[in-house]
Amino acid sequence: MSESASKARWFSTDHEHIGRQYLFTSLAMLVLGGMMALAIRWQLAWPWTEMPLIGRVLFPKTGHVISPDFYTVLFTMHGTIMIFFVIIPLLVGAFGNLLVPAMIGAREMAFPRLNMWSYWTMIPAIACLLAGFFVEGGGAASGWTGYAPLASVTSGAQGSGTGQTLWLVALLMSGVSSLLGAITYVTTIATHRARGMTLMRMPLTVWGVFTASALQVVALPMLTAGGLLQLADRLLLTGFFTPQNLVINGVALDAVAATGGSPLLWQHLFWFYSHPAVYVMVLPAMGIVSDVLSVHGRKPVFGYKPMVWALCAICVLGFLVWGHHMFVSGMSPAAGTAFMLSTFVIALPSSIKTFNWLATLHRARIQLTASMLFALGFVALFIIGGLSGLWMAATPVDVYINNTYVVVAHFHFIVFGGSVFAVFAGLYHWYPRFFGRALDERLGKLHFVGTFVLTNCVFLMMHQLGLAGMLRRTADPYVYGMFEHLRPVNVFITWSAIALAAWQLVFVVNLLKARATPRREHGNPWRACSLEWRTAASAPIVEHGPYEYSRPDANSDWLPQARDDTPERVSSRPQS
Amino acid sequence: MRTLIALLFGALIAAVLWSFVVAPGRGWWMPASVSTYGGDIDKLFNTITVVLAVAFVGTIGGLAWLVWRGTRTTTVRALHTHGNARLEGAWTFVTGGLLLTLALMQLSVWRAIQAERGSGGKPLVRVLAAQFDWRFRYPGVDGMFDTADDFETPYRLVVPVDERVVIELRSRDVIHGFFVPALRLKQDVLPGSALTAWFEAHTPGEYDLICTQLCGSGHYRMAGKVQVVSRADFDAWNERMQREWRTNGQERP
Amino acid sequence: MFRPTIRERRARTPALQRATAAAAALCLCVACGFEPGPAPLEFSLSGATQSALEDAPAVRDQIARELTTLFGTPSQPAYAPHPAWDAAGVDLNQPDASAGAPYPGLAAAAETYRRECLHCHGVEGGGDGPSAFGLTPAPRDVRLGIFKYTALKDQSRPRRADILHTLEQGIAGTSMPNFQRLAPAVRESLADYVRYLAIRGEVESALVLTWREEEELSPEAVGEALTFVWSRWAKAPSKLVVYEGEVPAASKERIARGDALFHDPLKGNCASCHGTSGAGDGPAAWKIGVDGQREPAYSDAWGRPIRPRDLREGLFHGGSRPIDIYRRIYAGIPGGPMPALGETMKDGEPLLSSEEMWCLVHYVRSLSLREGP
Repeated sequence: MSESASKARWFSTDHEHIGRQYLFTSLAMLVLGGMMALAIRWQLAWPWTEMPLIGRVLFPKTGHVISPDFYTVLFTMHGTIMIFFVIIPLLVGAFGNLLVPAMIGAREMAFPRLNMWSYWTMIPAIACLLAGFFVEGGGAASGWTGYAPLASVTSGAQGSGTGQTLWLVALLMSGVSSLLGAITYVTTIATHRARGMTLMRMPLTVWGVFTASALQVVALPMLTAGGLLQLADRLLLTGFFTPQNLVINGVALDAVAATGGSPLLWQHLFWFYSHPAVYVMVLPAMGIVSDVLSVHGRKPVFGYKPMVWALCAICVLGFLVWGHHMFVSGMSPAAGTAFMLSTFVIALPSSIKTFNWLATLHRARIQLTASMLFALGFVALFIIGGLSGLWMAATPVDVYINNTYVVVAHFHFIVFGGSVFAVFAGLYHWYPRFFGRALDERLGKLHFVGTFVLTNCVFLMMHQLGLAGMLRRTADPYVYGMFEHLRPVNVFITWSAIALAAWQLVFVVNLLKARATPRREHGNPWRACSLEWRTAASAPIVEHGPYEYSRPDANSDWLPQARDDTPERVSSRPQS
Repeated sequence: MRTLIALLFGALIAAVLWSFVVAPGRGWWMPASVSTYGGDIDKLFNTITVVLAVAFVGTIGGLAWLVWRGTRTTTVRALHTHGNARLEGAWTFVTGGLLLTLALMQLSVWRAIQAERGSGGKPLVRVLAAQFDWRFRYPGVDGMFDTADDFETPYRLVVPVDERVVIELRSRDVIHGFFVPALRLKQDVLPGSALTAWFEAHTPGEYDLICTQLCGSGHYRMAGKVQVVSRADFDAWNERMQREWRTNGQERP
Repeated sequence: MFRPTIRERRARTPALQRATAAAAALCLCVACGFEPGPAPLEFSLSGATQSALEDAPAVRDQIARELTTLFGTPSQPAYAPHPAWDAAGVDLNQPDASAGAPYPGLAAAAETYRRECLHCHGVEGGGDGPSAFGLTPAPRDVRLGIFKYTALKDQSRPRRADILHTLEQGIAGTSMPNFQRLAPAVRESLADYVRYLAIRGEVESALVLTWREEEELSPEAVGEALTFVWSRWAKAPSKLVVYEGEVPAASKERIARGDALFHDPLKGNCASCHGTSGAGDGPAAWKIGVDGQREPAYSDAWGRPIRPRDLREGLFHGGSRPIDIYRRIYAGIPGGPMPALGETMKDGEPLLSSEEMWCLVHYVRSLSLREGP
């Protein structure tokens, strides 16, 4: 390959190419983050025992047992990787690029170069993050929340030195990456829609990416500002987050740096972005699942407009609930009351969406494809994760629940049971569209059954751990006698996690198998209405909404959105 | 496949219900409450849990039923509908009302447990959290903090039973979390501020104190105890500690 | 029938299904009764020994073997029978547990040490565990036998009670936590294991010294080294700094007098290191380094620079009871520059009377309390 061709291949401005780059980078990071999760689980089931693989390499002298500070690095990195380098890039970066222009009938993104840089700022961010493992003191060790002053003061913890600085730089770069992507999506969706593609004719996936991008555009500057302030606290010895009169790890801070700041300020700045980030991780997933349910249920999405308004409501309300992470932080109790009310309010659009998904399935003609199975799995697990959120929203109950494993269970049901299941649903659904190769349906179903069962095995009992009081981010819960009886539960969860990880090999086999088959034109295998499946080269003229399935007045059970791709022509293909 | 999905969803409902039903009996549940407002918190928790259980069984059961029904081979074509405004309005209104009711139910308890914040009430003890220890400073004979007769003890917070105990939480390094599951009390310890919290324990005994906010590599081991004793025992202990601090420390080397 | 076109051409994959079933069965078998443990630990020679004997690998190996013979391994720690130990009067491997609970023994204590202490203090107690990085002050390297915070004078080795006291109280202002959540008998065995590691470390350096002097390691020389090391530990119980009666009250007068003594160069002279305000910035404790930066003038027995305590912080490593600070003033801090004022004589008279030392104690405490100057 010539140099320019290879450059064109790596630094392509083609959105589909960028989408695939995002997809495979984030899947690789998913593997890495998953391995870290297994290491964490190992420690929780069998603390201070020989850790397979890494123990021998990293801790040759202390019995191949990981150290407590390495454990903190592990869960910090696990959280950071999964949120910033797996879920957000997968849903927004990969699916956004691969689907948004195609679904709205745009030939290209509004800012192709910006879009390319969005991906290419993520790569150094990943490099920075992982470089943390190799610097003195190890990687960042203050949790993915990076609470000050543990994170903002270099003597705060073992990894609060160079590792934390690298972590912050990685966070800032991933923020820039997300921001570039978000600006591209918002502009593309606002200006590059095909003729006739009104906002209320956009598929919900597009709405999901649109609202998520809007959230990022508005909220990310806050995290960037916070990150820069923390970087200044660390490198320029400012004191935005450092109160007076602290002595951390033998260092009297008043003597070495400016002080007089507030640790709560960091929490506010951080959660002002990172709570919306939770919705960034779930809004596109909701969109994907709505689309998949409709296509494979052969039925229009029930209540399209309420669905759109619910997405928008979540998008707006998402800015008003960040304080519910801080009920016990020492924030004013009155603020706690306000954030509790707003949090109960934001539960409403999510439940409306759930009802609409159920109603979409009512009297549908459901095709139990792998994609549909994962979408159904999403709905079920999202319900569990969403419901347990109510415990946390209720301030007096949250006083008990906060920072226990109930929280861990809650957000893993949303992020793993929710977002990751939606990613799988989307991949099984659109793989032929993305790669011209189809994934094996049988393997896909096998993949679903095991993943669904094991996901529940892993995360369900975490509720009970948390109710028993087991704290988060602990390297050894059995330090407390009151958690000794939880050991069998933790062992069960760990075995389930190992099995869950192993089960994903089915998906890998499926990917490899698809790769081995020749690329071919798959047309519109699910007979979906939306534009991304169009094969015609002409510019589409959109005449319908995206979900015209099973119209009684049509010959076929679907009606494409665009005029020049008539159902008659497609249904003349051989059917099974 | 259709049967399998129905079984999967059925098993999910069964597993969730099972795990919550057997949990209290196996100690996979909140330890018995020993504080006066603990019961109120538990009541709210139980109310929410019942609502959640109904919602969970209803929605997952509904999902399973819809899938079972939607996969019948006899269906030739799905129902074509884009929604129903009245239905949307109905479930928005009902869910919204339910959520609002739940939210309002929390207010009085939340006010009660936060009552000592900024009230200027006199704390019985000052909790000093540090990497990776709890220390408790008592005001000594004169009842005033920061005087020569203050005494300090690690690990064990001793408090009298059946009395409103106000504690003041301080940290000189990073954020810690003061969590006593049996008291249903959790409050972050914020460096730079002296936050107050209160509880009233109604059963003497020894309860675990847990640090719940990541404070460094030793976070997991930052354990303590809250020992609730009778007033007489508390006074005797207080007297003994004061004496130890006044003498040459022969009780401890 | 509308069916997705992809589904039709997929054949069954029985091989894969069988493989999955086999894997699942294997997992189940493994899961039952699976109980991982740590890899066995081994004692290594200290960095000092290694560099001292860099060009004598044979001696190095001989010392390592000798130490294994004398002290066993982390999984089987024991003082090998030796006449030097008989002088102790107790069986060092089975000292009585005062609490009356069954004494866990050194092997069990080693396991406790592995879980609780090793990450900071290292396998040999060298203060060089994987989590020791960046901790200030650094975790204690017990192999020198020096323990800073005891109730004893004359830079003595600690008693068991002193080590236990540290395990019970932790060291305020450092990362050393208390261990009160361990049962008293377990704490006692842990203290004994710490002493074992310290003695082992001291014997190691004594053997190196012996070889340096005699160019060989005869059994007699080894015995002499053991006797020498133990003799220092045997003296500990007689070294307690006691003060009879109640602590004198912290009156305004005593605090004022303490203030004067603190700043008097001929009496306490504390300000020379701890600074006039007690901030630890006294001129004697600091020097200008080669790079023009202010750096500590003194270092401790481990070669680490020592900064005088900022007394205004109220974080007293050796304890904040009046008697703790009294003992610090009386006996100094072993391994560091803090002098033993209670033992200092001037013109045949003690430099400070006991009353004067109490005045200093109250002044020092007042610096971090409300009624301070």
